[in-house]
Amino acid sequence: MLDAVYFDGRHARGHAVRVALDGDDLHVCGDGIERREPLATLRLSARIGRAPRTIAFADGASCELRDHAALEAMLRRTPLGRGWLHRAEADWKIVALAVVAIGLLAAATLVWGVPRGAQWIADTMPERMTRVLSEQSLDLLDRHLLHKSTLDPTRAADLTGAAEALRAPDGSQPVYRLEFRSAPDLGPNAFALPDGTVVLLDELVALADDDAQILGVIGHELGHVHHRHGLRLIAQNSAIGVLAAWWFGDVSTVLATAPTVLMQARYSRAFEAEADRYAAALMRVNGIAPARLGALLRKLDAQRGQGGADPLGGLLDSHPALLERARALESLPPDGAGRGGAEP
Amino acid sequence: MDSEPTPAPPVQTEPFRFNGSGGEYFGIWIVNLLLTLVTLGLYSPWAKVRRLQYFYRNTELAGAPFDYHGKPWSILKGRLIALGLLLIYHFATTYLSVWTAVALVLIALVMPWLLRNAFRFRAHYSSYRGLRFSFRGSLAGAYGVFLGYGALMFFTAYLAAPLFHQRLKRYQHGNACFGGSAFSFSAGVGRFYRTYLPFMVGFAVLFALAFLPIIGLSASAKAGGKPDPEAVAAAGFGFLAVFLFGALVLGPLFQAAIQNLIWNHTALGPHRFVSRLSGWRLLGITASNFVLVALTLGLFMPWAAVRVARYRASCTSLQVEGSLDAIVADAGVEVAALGEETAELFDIDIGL
Ligand SMILES: [Zn+2]
Repeated sequence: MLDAVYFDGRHARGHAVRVALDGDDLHVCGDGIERREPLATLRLSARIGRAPRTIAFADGASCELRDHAALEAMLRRTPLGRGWLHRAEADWKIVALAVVAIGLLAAATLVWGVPRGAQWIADTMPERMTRVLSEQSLDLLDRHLLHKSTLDPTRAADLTGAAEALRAPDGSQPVYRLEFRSAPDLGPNAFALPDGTVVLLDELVALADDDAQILGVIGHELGHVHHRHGLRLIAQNSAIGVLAAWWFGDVSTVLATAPTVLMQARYSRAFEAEADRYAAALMRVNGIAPARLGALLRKLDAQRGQGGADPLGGLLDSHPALLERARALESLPPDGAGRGGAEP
Repeated sequence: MDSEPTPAPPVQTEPFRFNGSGGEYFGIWIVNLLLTLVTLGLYSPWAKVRRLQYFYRNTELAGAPFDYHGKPWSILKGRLIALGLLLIYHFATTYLSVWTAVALVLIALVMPWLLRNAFRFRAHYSSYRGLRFSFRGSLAGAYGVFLGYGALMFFTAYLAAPLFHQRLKRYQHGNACFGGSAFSFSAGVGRFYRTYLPFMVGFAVLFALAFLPIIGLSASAKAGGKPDPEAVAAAGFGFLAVFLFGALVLGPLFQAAIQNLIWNHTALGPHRFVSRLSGWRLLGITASNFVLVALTLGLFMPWAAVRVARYRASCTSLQVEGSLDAIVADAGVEVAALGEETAELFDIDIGL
């Protein structure tokens, strides 16, 4: 015998009734109600927390029951009594396991899944789209940040010639186009576009002690091109943005933007290190000591320290600390012996 | 409207009550999440039904809970349609062409129909005391509200937002029924403008505060000056602070004011709703939720949802004239069975 409230499905008035199991029938009686229905014609709502459960009759009537223990005891041996979902939700061991599983899944997604997915997107991106994207980006930069280069044309031609003579670490001719621009606001810098365009700023040419250092920077930028860092960064940021919006979206859009910023710093640190390794390998193949690039980074760091810093900047910028990168480059052997270090 | 005899029936205040608990909901939430992840999202309609059932069944009025009967398969269908629209929108706006205009027109034409169906779905699958809710807004009404007033809002830079909101709520609440008993909505446009005004001014001021430093910076950069890094950083922080202030302080105050306005002017037959949310209390709850969710990387979210639901319910009540027992199902209950079939075939639920 169980207390319940019966609704006939036509009136909002409830009836206090008692419910009992009678063979394969459910018996409902009290407050002028007297019904006997086969269990097979009834539907019992799944248990969810401590909320009341409903037994629905085929004609739209229903019973609300609140005594979960008694109801489950009564229906234990009937087809209505099954329901594993609530047992999982109310079992602290399963809940703890779910928390751990989701935590691991989230970590794996951020550290492994998103970079792999981005790599795949970057690798399958059609050549034409990459070119259009790069042309539009350079166009945008030219309009808002960059000025015409004031470099002596013969100096520019010399640098272009030296750059064209460069060999990639695997011996091939790296595919790229060298562009000269000036940007007093940005300071010494260079950056690469996904289609292989390398933009060299006059300020960097002025800062460098010799062509070897400039070729090192070009090698670094070619590393970004080779590993498709630009496209991967765009894809990774979009993915993190979508994931964060999905995760925090219900609560706050403000919170959803934080992970993108945090993860971008982490990802771009990894990219800089990867580009440096490529640059080192390329320099060794072309008979330049990787330490030359390290020396330039030190010089850049010293200049930044004097207040020449700018938070906007391109891919050769602040993070990770320039000095740390310089030390990593200088610790490499100066000749082509350790060429294998180029690949991650 | 009623020409009842003068002895008014006794009025009784029946409070809404939310009985869920954060710990209990956490288990439901995390199992939902895990099943959604391992099924690559296919479980999400089932998760949604379970979440809504938890909140509906734990919400009580006059001793009886609400219930939700949504069908996960219909929701899945609705989500696929919404995804299709999203993809169309995305591709149409990525490559500007004639197709952009075609797709936008197509979406604009389909949207009101979809939203009306969403209202119908939500109402049809909600019940209380064994009786279903329903929504009877006309299709023409939906086009009038979403296309007409929606476009007006867009073209007046949101100055018509209160008007749009009023028309939307009048359409939504004014066409809803519980059993055979109709809801009504009585707040006029003037009231919406009065409620909106301080917040519109507030948001406008915030907007100016957030963008003036950035405009100033870019102007100085155009003039050839080198942007001072500290000024850039200060502008960035200022923007963030203003944004946070808008979302965390003005947001809850606005929500409380608008929810009070809407529900204090909604009635079910002769029974009037009363909403007494305090903006400051809601602000305290959402701000502390924000901090705790951030500190726990999101694990506090179930408690946050339960806290808000409990506070909202505790501030809402129904002034019952006589008794709710008098409400009966619509005369066309036999149609309801057929209605359910058609609802499953044609109605879809898009997450609103
Ligand atoms: Zn770089």
